[in-house]
Amino acid sequence: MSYRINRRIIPYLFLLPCFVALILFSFIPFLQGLYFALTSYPLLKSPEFIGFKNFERLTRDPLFLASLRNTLVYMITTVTLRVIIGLILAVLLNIRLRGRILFRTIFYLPVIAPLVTVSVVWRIIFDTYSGVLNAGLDLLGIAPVPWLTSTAWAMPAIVIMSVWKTFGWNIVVFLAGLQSIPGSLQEAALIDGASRWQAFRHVTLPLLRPTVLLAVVMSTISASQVFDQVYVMTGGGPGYSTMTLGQMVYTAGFQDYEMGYASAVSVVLLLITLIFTMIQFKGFGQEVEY
Amino acid sequence: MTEVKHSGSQRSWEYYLGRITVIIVLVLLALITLFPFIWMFVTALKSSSEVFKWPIVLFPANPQWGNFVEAWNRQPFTRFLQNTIFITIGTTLLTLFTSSTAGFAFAKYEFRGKRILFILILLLLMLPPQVTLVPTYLMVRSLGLVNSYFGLMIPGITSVFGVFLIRQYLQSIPNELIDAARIDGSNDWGIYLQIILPLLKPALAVLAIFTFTGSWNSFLWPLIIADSSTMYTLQVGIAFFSGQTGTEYQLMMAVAVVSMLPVILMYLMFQRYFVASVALSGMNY
Repeated sequence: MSYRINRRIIPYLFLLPCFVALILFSFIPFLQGLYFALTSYPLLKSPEFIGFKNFERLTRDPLFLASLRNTLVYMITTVTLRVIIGLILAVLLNIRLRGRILFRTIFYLPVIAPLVTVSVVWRIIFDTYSGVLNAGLDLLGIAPVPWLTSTAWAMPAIVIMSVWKTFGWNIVVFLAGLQSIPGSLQEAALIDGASRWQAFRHVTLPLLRPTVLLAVVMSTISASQVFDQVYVMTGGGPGYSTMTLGQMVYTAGFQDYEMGYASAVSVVLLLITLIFTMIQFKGFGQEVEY
Repeated sequence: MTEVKHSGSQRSWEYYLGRITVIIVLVLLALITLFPFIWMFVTALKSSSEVFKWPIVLFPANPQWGNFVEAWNRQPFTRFLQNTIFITIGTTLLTLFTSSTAGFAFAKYEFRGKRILFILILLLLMLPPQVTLVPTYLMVRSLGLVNSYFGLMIPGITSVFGVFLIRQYLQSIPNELIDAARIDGSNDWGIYLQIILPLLKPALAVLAIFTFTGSWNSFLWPLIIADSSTMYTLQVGIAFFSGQTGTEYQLMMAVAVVSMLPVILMYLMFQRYFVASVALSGMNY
């Protein structure tokens, strides 16, 4: 009898280390975060319930409105670019070419590099007066672009850098997706007289739908959290032009020490991620069989 | 796979033209991808006057290898490196432990609430880190772990990818091995240590590499938890160094090269594991 009871607990004992960490450092903080968003909570004092006042304040806070707009612009542009570039390159790399492994290795290199370090590198590349990018543009007869010092160009600069950093991940995901599609299907389409483009558009692409969904959802989730490159390259400036929600959680919480207000921003960030994910699942999520 | 066998050995000139175009596109993009790495290295070797020369200096006339020493001594980078290594190794070992035990339970046991617990893991670990950032910080603070190594490791000690990977890997392993060991009198902990862990070596290698890079590169958490420069990691140190150094770009790049080197080397050595890990996590979500 004692043997039977013992056996039943064993799997839970194996789950314990993982779940203790998760409950302590993910689940409880998550619930607390939802509550703190409804409080006024200066660090070193205790939280005081104030209802939705933080959210009312957000709607009037120009810093928040700029952060929200910039985060959406950043998410939509980077996700679109990295998914499209990733898909095109994956299709090209899926052709049997000499050296395709080498290309894949190179394209994935930025993904593995530390984000903070490459942000420092790109800061120098984007330098208006001594940066190599403007030197290259000068050769083409283009006047120096004030990449990180103008409100118009700072966000595009961060988008360019971020797409460079992440498109390799999409390539690898799409390559895995392409390789899971039976080759016989495409061959059948080609034998039936379809052109390569038609075969891709009407056979491969529909079958790739789950992979596209995965790439879009994961890219969106990671884009919504953008922080390191903003912190290093612009600090959110000039003005509020590159301020993002992730950056605002940091400044509100760890520079202004307003824990309640910072939590409210993080709840908005979570909601945006959820809304985007739900729309994407609705848009792409039909079952595919083959 | 998109390749269709052409009849005989004859291939049209369009075929070769297509291939050449593809290769040109790939080579150009590969050069663009590599350029920031090359530029980082070249800049690290420039003299302070070459950094600002116009027209731009592509290769330093006299490589300044001393930049590495000078930059390294500007800040306690040796200390930052030690901290980073310590935190990275600790995080990796803890992640291997929490993932292999949980993955083992999910793969080889039947128990009440299994499905719900598994879904819960997936949901929790998909939360954007900023959502739990403030409360986790407050909790770590109340536990007195701010500015401590354990505090720095905390958010990284579980991995959804890890639990997933281990579960997946173990499901493909027949139960007979476990049953045989049980008949021989091993208890479950003994089975985990003597049978499961040795079998898991390849999966644990993938997870270790993955966790190592993630931990080495992490920034936001060490930024808020490391209160004093004695606890900074390399990434935090570099971010502050780049903020303070102003225009000594050659020194910034020298530090950048050093901080990047371990992950790049690891990547080049274990390249196929990285690709396997993305493909695997990609397939399963």
